Amino acid sequence: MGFSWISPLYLFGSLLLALPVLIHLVQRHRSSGVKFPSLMFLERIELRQKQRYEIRNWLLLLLRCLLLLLIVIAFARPFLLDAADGQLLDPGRKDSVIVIDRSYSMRVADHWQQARAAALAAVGEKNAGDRIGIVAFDDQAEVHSDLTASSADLRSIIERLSPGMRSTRLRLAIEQAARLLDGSNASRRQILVISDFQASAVVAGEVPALAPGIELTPLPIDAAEIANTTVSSLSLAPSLRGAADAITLNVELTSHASEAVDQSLSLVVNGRELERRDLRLQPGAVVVESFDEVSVSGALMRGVVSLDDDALALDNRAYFVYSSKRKLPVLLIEAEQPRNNQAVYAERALGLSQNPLFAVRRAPWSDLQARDLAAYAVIIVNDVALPGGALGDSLRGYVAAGGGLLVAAGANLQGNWPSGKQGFVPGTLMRQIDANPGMAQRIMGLDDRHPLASVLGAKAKIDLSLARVFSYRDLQPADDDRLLARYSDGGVALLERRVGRGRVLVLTTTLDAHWNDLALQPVFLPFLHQTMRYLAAFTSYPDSVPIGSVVDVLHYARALAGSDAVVAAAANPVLIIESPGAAQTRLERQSPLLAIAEPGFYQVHRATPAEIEVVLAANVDPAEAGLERLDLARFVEEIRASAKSLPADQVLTLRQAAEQEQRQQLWYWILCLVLVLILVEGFTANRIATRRPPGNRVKT
Amino acid sequence: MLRQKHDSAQVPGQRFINPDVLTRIDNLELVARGVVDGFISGLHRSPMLGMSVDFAEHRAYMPGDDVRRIDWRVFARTDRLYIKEFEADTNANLHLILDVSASMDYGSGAVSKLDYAKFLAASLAYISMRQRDRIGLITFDNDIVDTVPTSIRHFSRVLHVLDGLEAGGVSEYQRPLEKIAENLRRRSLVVLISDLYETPERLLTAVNQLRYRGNDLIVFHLLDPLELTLNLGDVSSVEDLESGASMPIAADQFRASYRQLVSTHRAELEAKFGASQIDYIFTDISQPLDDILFRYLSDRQRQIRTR
Repeated sequence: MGFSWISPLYLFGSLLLALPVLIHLVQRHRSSGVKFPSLMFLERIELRQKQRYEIRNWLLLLLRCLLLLLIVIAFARPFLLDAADGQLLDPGRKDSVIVIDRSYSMRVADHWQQARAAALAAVGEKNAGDRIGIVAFDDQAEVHSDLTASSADLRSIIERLSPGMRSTRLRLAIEQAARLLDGSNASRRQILVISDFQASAVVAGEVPALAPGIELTPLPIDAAEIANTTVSSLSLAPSLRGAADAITLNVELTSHASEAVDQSLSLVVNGRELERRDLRLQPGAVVVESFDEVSVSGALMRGVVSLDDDALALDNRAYFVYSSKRKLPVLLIEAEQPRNNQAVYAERALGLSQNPLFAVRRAPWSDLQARDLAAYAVIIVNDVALPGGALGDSLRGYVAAGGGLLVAAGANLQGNWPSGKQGFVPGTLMRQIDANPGMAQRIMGLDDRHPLASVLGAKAKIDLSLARVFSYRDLQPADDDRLLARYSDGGVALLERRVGRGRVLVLTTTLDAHWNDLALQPVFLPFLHQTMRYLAAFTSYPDSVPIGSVVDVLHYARALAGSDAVVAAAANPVLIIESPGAAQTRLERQSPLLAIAEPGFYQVHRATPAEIEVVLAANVDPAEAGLERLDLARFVEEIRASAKSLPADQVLTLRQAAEQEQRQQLWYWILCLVLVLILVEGFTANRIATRRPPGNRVKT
Repeated sequence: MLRQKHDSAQVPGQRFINPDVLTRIDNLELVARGVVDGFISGLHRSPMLGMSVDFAEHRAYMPGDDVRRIDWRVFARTDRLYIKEFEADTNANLHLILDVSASMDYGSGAVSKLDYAKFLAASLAYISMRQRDRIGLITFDNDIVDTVPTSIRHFSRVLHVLDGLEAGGVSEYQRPLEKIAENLRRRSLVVLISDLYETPERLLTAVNQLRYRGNDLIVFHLLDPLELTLNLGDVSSVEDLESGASMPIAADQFRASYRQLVSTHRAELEAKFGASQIDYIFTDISQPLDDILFRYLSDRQRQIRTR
């Protein structure tokens, strides 16, 4: 049994022990010096220097030194090495972790076969008591086997491994392997990394954290130089010239070859090849190619840009989708007998949006059925009473299912105000408040952290306080409501309430120019557009998603369809996912997360009818296409330098040590002892001080 | 208290005014009168006897009067006994020479050496005033600081100067005492009050200058009790009041040697001054002032008788 420390560097603090001695000796001159009439006689007295600096109060000094020492020890967090805990190192054993690269670059030529052979060889070379673990990695690290001595199991696991579609991150894999070895008490611990060691596998400045005593042994694949070309990026833009439903397409091509490569570039949209062109890519060239304008057909257009296959074919294709169905449906409720221009301002403002486009329908409550509401992303109620009965219940259901509701309160908003726990509107609506003549209210203090403020704060001209408000409805917020803005007299201007997955905003003045001039201000358009996006939880539909990402299918369904409510209204709660490899999986709507694992098109169907709801284009990470080698010697040296230089046979793993120290908590008892010693020191110092004769007086 | 009772037994009637008490009295004249009157009434005789006196008046003889003072001529003419009353007159000068160097500002009790020196000088001046001597005052550190010329009417002025004395400067004896000696034109009684931080040889050289002119020289050597014992407690260093120099000390180890050195110093001074017929009075400033004065004056009276 012996001692060890969690933070041994703190022990350097024991140098502080010199401090009380030095202070005692040096300060004694200054602090306890007295004036004396003459040194005539004192100077004649022979005394050794040692006596002049003699320490008087040994007990006090020792107490203080002990105090400091104990504090330093407590900070270093000592713990007892306990053989019974099995923490002593096993001198004869070696534990290794084989870290094998399965990124898609390993598909080139025979790289994967080489990697697998190297892993099997490592298993074959192990001694009987040695243990091996297996971690396969790309941009994630996955433990396939904990440390085991069973060679058969290890071989079986290695045989089953295959390269994936993802890019490479070395750091994660090495750290994962190091964590496996943390639990090892073998005298020799080793990480074997089998990879093609692309330069892109290491982000600059990211050095894996390796515990002391762990060896890192890279086993690079023996790879000849390979000419690789790739579609490194793709961008879509609505056409600026022709009709709105046309796009232009640009692709960026990169050559990783050392010689010029002849290639053929093609564009296929909805299964039909629209264009093909031959080109010559110079060594290391990055070129941008633009395709002719493509007319959009159907709600979702699928396309693929591809180069001819080469040694690494996966990065020669870029898949994309384009959705023309980008209009957010908005229902604008108007009164049976609307006043002049009551709905005009909002309707025209919504008509001026580009992203997204809004499809606005104006209708009084009387024209609507309960089921109609689900078709809209946002409902705007401008100074009209809220419905009761079945329509009211439907409105609540609509909001709870994810719909957005904007209520602008004016004089006509009377009667039903379904607030409280059973309701869905925030606060309690009170009387009308009119500003004094010539003293219009201003909307102040919009919460900066709210998404609504993100667009309003962007430009100086967009400022809600520019609008003058002459009248508003008093609204008393409840505890759960979020107050977004006030008037200059303190009244509530904008109040929000979350109901289920939906959002309700109440503006306590009208949305036309009846009670204010907000609709006449420049801020009105961006405010209303942003409010619609916020209430509808609008998301742009992605052209493509990278492999390795996990997407919420309903999130994109919402972007495509315009509203959660549309999706939620589907009768069958089960989604069928068809992957690019034609495999089908079922996905519950309650947990609609889809892991993107392969390039191509993912199609999401409702179980019945088998209508395609969502199509996602998935692409590999083009960064993996660069096959240039990492400077391996430097990389290994950096890792070794960052690891603490303690001899392996003296090292407990950090995790073991931390666990042991936490179990024993010696520092706690040491600090308790320090407290006791502080009391003793105080008592002793006090006794000494009171014994000391009073100092002599010198008149000056 | 025990010490005071012991002294009281030696000197009946002495009031033994503690120096600490004297510091509370602002008026030096009151201090001097309080100190001097106390023991003079006990002595019944002025210690300054031997000076010349002038006839003042006659008064009727009262039993108990000294028969030697009966004016027999008047008795022959009038057949009545009359006593001759004399008014004290003087032909003596008293020069009080005070060391006001910084070291005199030291005191472990309520009284510093300078305070004590002031009381002592004031008391001596008071006695001389009563004897109608001429009184003068000279203060010095490494040079002459203040001078009050001798005069029979300078008692108040001496007290005034004493009252305003502040300690400071480095002490030196040779040069200032030489200057003082040059200015002493008449034979005088010279009283030097100092802590005498100088080697006995050099001190003797310095004070002998005063002695050579036929002056009667009295040296009061004032020291604080701590200067005698070095009971400084747990101090690690001391700083010289005059030079500001500091030195580390181990008071416990130093104490015995220090006491020995002080004791030797005193003994040498006493021997050397005695040999030069200089009165040397060692004064511990924790001792009552009137006690010191009484003992000195008694000794002096005895010496005068024997000289």
